[in-house]
Amino acid sequence: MSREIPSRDLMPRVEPWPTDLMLDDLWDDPPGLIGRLQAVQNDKIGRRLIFTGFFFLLLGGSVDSIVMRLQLAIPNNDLVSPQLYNEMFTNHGSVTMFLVILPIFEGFAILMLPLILGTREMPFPRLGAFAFFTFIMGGLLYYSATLFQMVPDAGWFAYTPLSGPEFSPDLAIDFWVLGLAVAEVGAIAAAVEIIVGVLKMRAPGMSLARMPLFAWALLVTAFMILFAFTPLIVGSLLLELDRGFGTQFFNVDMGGSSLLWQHLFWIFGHPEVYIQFLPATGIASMIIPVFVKRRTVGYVAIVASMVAIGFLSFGLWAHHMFTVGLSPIVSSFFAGASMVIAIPAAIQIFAWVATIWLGRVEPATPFLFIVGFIALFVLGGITGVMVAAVPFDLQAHDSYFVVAHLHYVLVGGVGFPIFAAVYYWLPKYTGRLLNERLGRWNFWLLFIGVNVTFFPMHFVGLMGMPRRVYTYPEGLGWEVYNMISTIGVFILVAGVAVFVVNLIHSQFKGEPAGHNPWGGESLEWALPSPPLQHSWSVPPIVRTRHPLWDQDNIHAGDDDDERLVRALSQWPLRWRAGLITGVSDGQPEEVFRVAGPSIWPLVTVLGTVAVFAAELLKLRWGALIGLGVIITGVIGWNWPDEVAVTEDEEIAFESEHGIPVRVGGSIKIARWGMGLMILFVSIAFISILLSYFYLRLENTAWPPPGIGNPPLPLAVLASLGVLGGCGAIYRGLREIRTGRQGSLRRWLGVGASLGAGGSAALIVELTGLTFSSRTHAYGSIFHLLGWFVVVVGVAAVVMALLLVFWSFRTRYTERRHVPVENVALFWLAAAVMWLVGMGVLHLTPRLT
Amino acid sequence: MVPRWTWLFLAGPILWYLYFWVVYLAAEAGCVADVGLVVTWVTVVLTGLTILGIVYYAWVSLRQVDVATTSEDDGNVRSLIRAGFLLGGMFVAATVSVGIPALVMKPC
Repeated sequence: MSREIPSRDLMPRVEPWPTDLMLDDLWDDPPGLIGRLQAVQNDKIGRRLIFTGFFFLLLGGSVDSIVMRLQLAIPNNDLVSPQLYNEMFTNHGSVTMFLVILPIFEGFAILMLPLILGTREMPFPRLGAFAFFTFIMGGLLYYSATLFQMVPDAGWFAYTPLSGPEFSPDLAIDFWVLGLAVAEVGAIAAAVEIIVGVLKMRAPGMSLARMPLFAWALLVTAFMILFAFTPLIVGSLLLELDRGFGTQFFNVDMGGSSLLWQHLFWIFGHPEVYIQFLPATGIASMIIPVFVKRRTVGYVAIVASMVAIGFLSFGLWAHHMFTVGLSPIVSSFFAGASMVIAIPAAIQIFAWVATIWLGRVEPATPFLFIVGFIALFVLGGITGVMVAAVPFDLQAHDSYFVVAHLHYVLVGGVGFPIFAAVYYWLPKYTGRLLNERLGRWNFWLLFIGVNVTFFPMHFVGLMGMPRRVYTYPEGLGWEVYNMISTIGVFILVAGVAVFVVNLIHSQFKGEPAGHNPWGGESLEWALPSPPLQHSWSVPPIVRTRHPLWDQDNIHAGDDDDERLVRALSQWPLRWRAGLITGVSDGQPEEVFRVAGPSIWPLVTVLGTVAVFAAELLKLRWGALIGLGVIITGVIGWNWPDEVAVTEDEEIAFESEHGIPVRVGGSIKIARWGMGLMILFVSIAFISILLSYFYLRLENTAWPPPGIGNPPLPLAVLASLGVLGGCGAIYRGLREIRTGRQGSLRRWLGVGASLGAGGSAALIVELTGLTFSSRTHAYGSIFHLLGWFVVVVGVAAVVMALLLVFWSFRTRYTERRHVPVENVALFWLAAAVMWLVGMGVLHLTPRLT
Repeated sequence: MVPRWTWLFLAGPILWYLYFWVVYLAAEAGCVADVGLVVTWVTVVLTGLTILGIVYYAWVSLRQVDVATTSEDDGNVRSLIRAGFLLGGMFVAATVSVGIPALVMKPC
């Protein structure tokens, strides 16, 4: 392997293969309208998600900001009313934070990862389709508020009590909570897809240490989404319960706490900034080496920095709350963590600068955008460290200084890499390059526009101009800065217009891109532009971190791997085969059948939207219909379909290539999927537990005077039922591992019965309590936690019953029993949550 | 079930995050109960223990870097453990940064 970087013409490329057309046809989605609704193929889903993000950017990011800047251009302006201004800044923040950057980056992930990682698809294509439909429908549900003249106006953070039933009695905030909650579900679904895709579906030989940095960035980001969005969903649930059902979580007069909302919101809200920033760093790490023809300096340090940012970002949230009266030591904890995150961010920047310094720069448009990103992000990062200092933050809080800071970080630190990524990767899918001259105009207009718009905001903020005011009086010295910012916005608009022109120009007159227009080093550049539906007829074999620079042949490796990847190009040709590889070493572990097109993800999303819309319209029976649609959708989604090969064929392939074929479903993938689902439920559970203890600390008496301790006997009975059910399910699992289907069915039945009995006992207790969820915050959190474990228990029972049902239709064997393994794992998690939940509910009042 | 490299890779961040939550919750509860001195001591002691824990695992990582290099591994695990060592350094800094104010300021 040579260390010299070969010329572009000498880099390996994928040539036509005899089975290309058959595989392309096999992996393509069905045609027609119904086919489009059933589509699951990663390039379609990825592109749809990216378009969704840009669509909402035009709706919420652009128009609102132009009108707001026009309003602020001169003092005492009355272009828009205060109410409309409130609605605009609420919409601008909400849309850009929830509906723009997330779908764009998750779309990039689903679109690009299979190409970059050398695999044919993402692991759960139907989950990807589900994510797309939830994003678009959640966004539209949120936007439908405008049709009813009930636009949310409480800011993108919807602080209580402003967003509570007392001060926002109409449905505007319900649109905000429920519409965005649908989109949040989509974000989590796509995150699960990305985590399993990056960890389990890579080219043979692509160990973690050879994985492109973009994939590392997306992996960390996806875990962050899982950990950040779940508390927000819990917070949104609490807010909606207060608004729609009369609970008292945020009502200070009834033992609630408005600060609880701020904690639940910002434990999402601050990691959210890094959720948007990390994929941008991944893009920078992919683009810089290509345009300086130099391998990345400090690969290991960059990986460590990404992981460090992922963890540290969850210890910063209360720096948004320095002015609410936290104790000094708590403020110092968060200030310390907020400053330290500058270290891993700086490590990445130094690594990029060193790579550029040591290379030979080719300043094409993607590279220009990355250099612009570094400059702007450093500026935004430095002001970030400033506002992490408590004394400074107490002065600058809620001023335009913070607006300047966050826009440098988000427009410069996130928007610029998105433009870079479009210029860099779009030719791979359209087959045509964007115009360089227009690209430079695009870059310079945006770079100048960002600085003209946002730099003056630092000054006007330090002069005392608060954010979220619709106008200001004359004579404060703010006029000139606001006028400059408004002029800057029009420079930005011109920059975006040039970008749009360039996209159109490229479609009609763009130069052909060829396989590898930039001389890139990662796998996607070996493929034709555009690639086939399945991307790789013969999966690549990776032996280095920079395969196209360091390998003469990307299909050459050790004998076993070579035989396997060639075999996969010829068999199977009747079902979609994906290759599972080891998490760490990237060695082949399984061949499994990737799910095909299906209408059920759309049905499930329609059910989800129906549940949320029913709450919006206060048609509670509608939620039951929606729930029924969801259950139908999930069952249809997972309905076992015909197995295209026999077990003998599977075993024959296994004996020839040394890895199993799982046509009935991959054990490893399913385990990861179920593990992440359990993680999601557990994070929700922990968020509720922390809310419980937070409210406990806010109240001197727990339970409050007049309410007795909760009764123990039914709780003990309920817990014993669920524990016994879990034991029975595991006994059934042991039976099927030795091939006894009859015994499996019997034990599943026992488990479901015991679980149902336990759940029923807890329901009896909850419905017979002397206090309701409206009585006091204690009652609210008691009922919420109690009903949460009931739902988890009932879900476990339903899963067990479905297994019993399916066991009559399909044959589980010692090789094919993935669903049983998954359900048993869920039962275990349910039993643990049940015990902890019961312990907290019934012992805390007695012990504290 | 979880390979050893995972722990060596993530020990620093995980220990720090556990530490962060414990000192934060202890401070919230301690200030409500008006036991500021306890908050200070809990923070200082846990800061010291966490630093020791992270340094220990960083040291183990350093020793494992050579051991982990085998012909089959091709440096993969070694790179991950090196990343773990770097993470250890970063999270010692994070622990010091979070915990040190407890020595000089009134907690509640």
